[in-house]
Amino acid sequence: MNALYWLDMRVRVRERRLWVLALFFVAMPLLICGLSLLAAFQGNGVLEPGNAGEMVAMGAIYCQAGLLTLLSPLAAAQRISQEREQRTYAALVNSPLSPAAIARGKLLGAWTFTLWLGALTLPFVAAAALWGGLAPWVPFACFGLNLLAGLALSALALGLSGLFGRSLSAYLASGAVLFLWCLALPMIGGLTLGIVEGGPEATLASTRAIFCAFFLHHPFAPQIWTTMRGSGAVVTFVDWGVWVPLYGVGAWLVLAWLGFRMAVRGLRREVY
Amino acid sequence: MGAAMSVNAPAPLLRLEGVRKRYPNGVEAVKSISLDVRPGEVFGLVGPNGAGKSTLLKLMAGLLRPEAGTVRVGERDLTGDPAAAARFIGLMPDPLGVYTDVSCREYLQFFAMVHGLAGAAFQTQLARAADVLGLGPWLDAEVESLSAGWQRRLALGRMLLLDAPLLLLDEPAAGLDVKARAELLDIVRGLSALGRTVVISSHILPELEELADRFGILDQGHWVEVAPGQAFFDRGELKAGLGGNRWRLRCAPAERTLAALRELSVAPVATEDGVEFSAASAPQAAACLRAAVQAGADVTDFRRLDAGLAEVVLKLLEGGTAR
Repeated sequence: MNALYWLDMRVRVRERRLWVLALFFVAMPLLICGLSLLAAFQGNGVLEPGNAGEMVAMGAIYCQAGLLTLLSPLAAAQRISQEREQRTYAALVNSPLSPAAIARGKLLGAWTFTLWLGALTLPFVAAAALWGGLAPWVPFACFGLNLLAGLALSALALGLSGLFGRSLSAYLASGAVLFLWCLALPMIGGLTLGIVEGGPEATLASTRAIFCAFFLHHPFAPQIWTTMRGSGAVVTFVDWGVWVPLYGVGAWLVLAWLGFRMAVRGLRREVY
Repeated sequence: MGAAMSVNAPAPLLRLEGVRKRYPNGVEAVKSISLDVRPGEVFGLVGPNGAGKSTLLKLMAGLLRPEAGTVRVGERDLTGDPAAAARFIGLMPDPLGVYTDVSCREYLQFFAMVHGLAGAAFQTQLARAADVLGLGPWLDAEVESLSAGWQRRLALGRMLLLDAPLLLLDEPAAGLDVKARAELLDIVRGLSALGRTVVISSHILPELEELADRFGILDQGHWVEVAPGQAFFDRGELKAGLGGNRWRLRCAPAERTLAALRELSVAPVATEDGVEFSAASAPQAAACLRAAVQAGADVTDFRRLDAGLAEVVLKLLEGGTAR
């Protein structure tokens, strides 16, 4: 067992904020699924199961996606910088653990947190599958995609944590990356799409390129495609079939790998 | 300082050769330092703030990569390789950081796991370390609840567990009260008695003077020369005033003694109540005493002036003999 992972588990499980976060993580989907259920009632007060299932599934899936997107990088962003702040870094590096082993231990800790948070909301996703409305595989596929996005974001934030000496800097950098990736890029992409499609030289290739550059790697993009397909809607934005979510997942994996390499690189730096 | 400044011992445990370190801000913290530390020795690293002591210790532990030079433990080149150095070197950095959210046992278990020590071997080492450091009653206490002195003991425990032959202690007594300091230095003395080699940097010179076998004074990244071509000195040399061998004669009238000693070429200097002079040996000093008596002086006191480490360091640093 990775010693750092062992230590991380010992420390984290004693933290009160972990349980506060868990409570928040359960309360939010509960609230949103409850509201979705209320919204599913038709005007005559009749609850149509398929409609209710779809509403609850959407609520659970996107609530989970949002929470994981926010909390996974937050939980990972201080893992290496904190060692520097609490002055344990020199003793940690003065050990036979290689930088890769240290990064692995830290990453495992961050991933366990993400998986644990994800597991807390699994009952909501399962309940949504039971209601019907969407194909039963859709909530579970989205659950898996949400977890993957969370894991990728954790790895990216860990990489940033390795580059900074202060946790606050690592948090700010992670927030900036999150903002850029989740909000700024889609906004720029939307504007670009508007300009290109309104112009005389709009082609399918240019539309595809814009989607690849700005949208398809978004932490929610594969889930959007999956829920659209699951609800029988026609996916009109790119006609690449299953390659759309695969492109997104591929981009996440590349980012996760980059994050890990950044963390290792940060750990190879000298200890001043 | 070249190899000529190093003390040539048959098989040094730690050997630094021409180590240089420049920080990214351009400050050259260590300028071509060489040093041999013998097995079982306690080497005292002395110098003012910013002299390069902590940098030198980090270079020894591989935490910093030098621009030039090598760091060897035995035959192994450990230059800039902290993971390799960790098998031979235990570092107690300053400022000291320990994981505070775990118990002492968990803290030690973590470092044991890191070094591949588990099961019965870990329990044996843990019991031994706890015994040496007096940590037994505190093993299940949260590290956070320990005082600074006990946290330093715990950090020493980490190094004891792992049987590292070389311990680097950077200001181990910093911030400790007199009692905790004395206890910690007793422990270091005990570790030395167990055969560990220790390089210790400290500003608390009276304690270091009692603890270290040999000393080197760093200033501005250089060894300070205590005599032409000599960078290091041992406790015996320190007591003898580093080659000065100053003696004091309390006598009256001082003028007669001064005149008599001038003839013996022992560099006599008049003081408030007598004369001070340098004698290379006890017989020469005795000859000076005889000369003073024969010159008709009434001698009321005669003794060798032992130099303290603090006094020597201050004098050398004021003299600006760093090179």
